[in-house]
Amino acid sequence: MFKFKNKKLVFFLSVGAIVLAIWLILPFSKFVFLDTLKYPFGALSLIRREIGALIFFHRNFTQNELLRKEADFLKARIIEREEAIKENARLKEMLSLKQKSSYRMVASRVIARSPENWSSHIIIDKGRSSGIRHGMAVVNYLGLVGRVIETTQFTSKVLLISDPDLGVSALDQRSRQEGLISGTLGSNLIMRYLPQDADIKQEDTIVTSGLSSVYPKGILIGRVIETGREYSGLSHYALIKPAVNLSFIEEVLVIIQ
Amino acid sequence: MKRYLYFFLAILASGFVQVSLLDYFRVFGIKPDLCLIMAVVAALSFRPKWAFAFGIFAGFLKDIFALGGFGINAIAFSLWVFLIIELNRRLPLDYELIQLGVISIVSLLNNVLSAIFAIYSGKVIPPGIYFGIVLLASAYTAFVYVPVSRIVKPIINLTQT
Repeated sequence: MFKFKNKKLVFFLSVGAIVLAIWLILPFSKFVFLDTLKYPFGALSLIRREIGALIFFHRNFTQNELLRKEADFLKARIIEREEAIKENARLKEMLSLKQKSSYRMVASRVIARSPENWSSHIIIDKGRSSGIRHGMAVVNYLGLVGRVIETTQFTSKVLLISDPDLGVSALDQRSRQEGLISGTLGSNLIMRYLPQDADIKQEDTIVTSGLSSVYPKGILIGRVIETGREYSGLSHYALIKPAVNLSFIEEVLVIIQ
Repeated sequence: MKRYLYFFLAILASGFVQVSLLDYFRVFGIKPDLCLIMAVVAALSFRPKWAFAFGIFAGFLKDIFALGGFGINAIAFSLWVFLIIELNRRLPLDYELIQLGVISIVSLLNNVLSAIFAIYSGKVIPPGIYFGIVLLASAYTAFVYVPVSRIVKPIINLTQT
């Protein structure tokens, strides 16, 4: 079918050998490239943000006004609750309960995203030099984002919760029904293999259960938008809309302690 | 020599756009594969040695930012470049419509190959989303091929000596 001259055969074999060498011997070279490309990508993400700010000026202006009003309202609520927090602290001290320690977090910016449609991950501009290690949980102010799966000296790859490879132990905040959430590569998450009598309803809030050592307890994951029976008929499932808009996250927080 | 340098920079630019700006142009959560488009343009515009080199580089660039086995895209893209070069010897691929058909088929094969690797690595993907990604991503890549090739080819032809 295909006729090769000797020279061509030698050429194709050489190319194949080079590709095999790259594949087998130098997989670490991608980390060098990622570290090198961190600054151009950081600059590009800044330019993209500025262009987005110019294009979506009116939308941002309207949103800004609404957010200011919401912020004023929330400030008033915070003051009301400060009193309750102080009283809570006093009572805990009286009962000699150990105070919850706050988490140490590292803020970082998203500089790149997955180049393909078969995985859902992002690349952030902080790495081992900032104390980030493999397996650390990643959140933002709205809720759970994902988990660190690869680190270089100055960058890290974060697998998002919308990726099917990531499973998160979760529970329904109202009924305390536990389940395992995984991604579907779509816009929603799925909580599978729920018992037939599982008490999960639409609009229920889903949070991390804290059963695994990776994700602290109580981090918001999303809310239930649909429940149904699995195709096998033996168990139920629930579709979860993530609290975080994973398509447009710009900054994340890595929980390092 | 200039046309090779400019095309190399064009592949780098496509890689940058692929991992950053292209997320704004997602359709049903799908985005096209600019790196694959550049590999196909290389196969149609350059001699085999340079086409191979550019194809491997485009795949390598995608591998840097992707998860999973490193080098899969580099090998896959070199395979597609080889097949396009062999097809070009037997059929004229000068017409845009024929090139559109070629990129559709190549994109479909590339997505199927990527899906096989993803499933082999243990990903559980709902069938609806699996077929949606395979078909929609292939169609979207083919749709984007025409404007991208019209931007890139004049750059190659302008610097042709």
